[in-house]
Amino acid sequence: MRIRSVIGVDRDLNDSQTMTPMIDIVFLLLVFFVCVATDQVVEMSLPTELASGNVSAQETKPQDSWVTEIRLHLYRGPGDSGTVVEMNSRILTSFPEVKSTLKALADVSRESPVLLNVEDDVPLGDVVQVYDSCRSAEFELINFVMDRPAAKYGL
Amino acid sequence: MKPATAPRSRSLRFAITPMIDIVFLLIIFFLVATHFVKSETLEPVELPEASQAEDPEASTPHRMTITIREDGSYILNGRTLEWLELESILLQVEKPREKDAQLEVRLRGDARTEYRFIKPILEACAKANLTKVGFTVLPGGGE
Repeated sequence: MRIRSVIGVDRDLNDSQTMTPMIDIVFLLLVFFVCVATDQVVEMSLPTELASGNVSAQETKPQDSWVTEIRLHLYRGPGDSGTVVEMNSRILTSFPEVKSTLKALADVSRESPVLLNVEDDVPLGDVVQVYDSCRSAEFELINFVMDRPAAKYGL
Repeated sequence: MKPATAPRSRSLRFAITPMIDIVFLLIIFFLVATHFVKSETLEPVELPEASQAEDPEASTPHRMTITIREDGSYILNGRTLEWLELESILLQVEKPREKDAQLEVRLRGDARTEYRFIKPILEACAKANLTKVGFTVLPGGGE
């Protein structure tokens, strides 16, 4: 009488035993990465370097005659007209115009200091957009104009 | 007649597969938990866009993130603060002990927040010699 071998059956059983947890893990990893990848917003940073100490006391020094100070005044226009950008008393009508004008000026002189004088009611989004345009034009010095301490702190 | 049977091997092998399974499960659990804890502290705000944005991880590891909501309220470490509280924190903040290490103040401001709520932070940072300040932005805004 011949007895049927069970070696083959064992091998089949072992194969199925090792495959199942592997598939399990692969599915778990898949689910994990899908969960992590969705709803992920990449936040970046737009750095700025502030002057230290009593910043308001740092007056702008007279520059060389060929270096022109670029003063950008940001304020809210009448009604819903949005933010107005005034560059050295010249009103720029749109942000692309601000960007192109800054680029043209930077091509002439990157050393020109840029002063951002922002009014209180201007939204941060517009401030960042103008600051980004200044950085994009590769100006060497971009400063935010601050109030005098006497006005704010009663000194 | 009783057929001869092969001796059944009863080896007590260490089952590594379920252990790996459990280890992976634990890793996934902690990763997901960390992700949710991190997300919880980040107040959802509509960030401005900038083309010159840099990788935030490339800068200093010492960082303080202040979220400024549209209504002008300040959030630091998940706590909503009044301006005077935040100002005193900024003025008394402990600088990193490592040589050349600088503390960066990251401003996560809503794009609609008025500048009146940002300016005092910049002034306080300058007074406290915290010169490294960054605006949190979304990449884009190229045109």
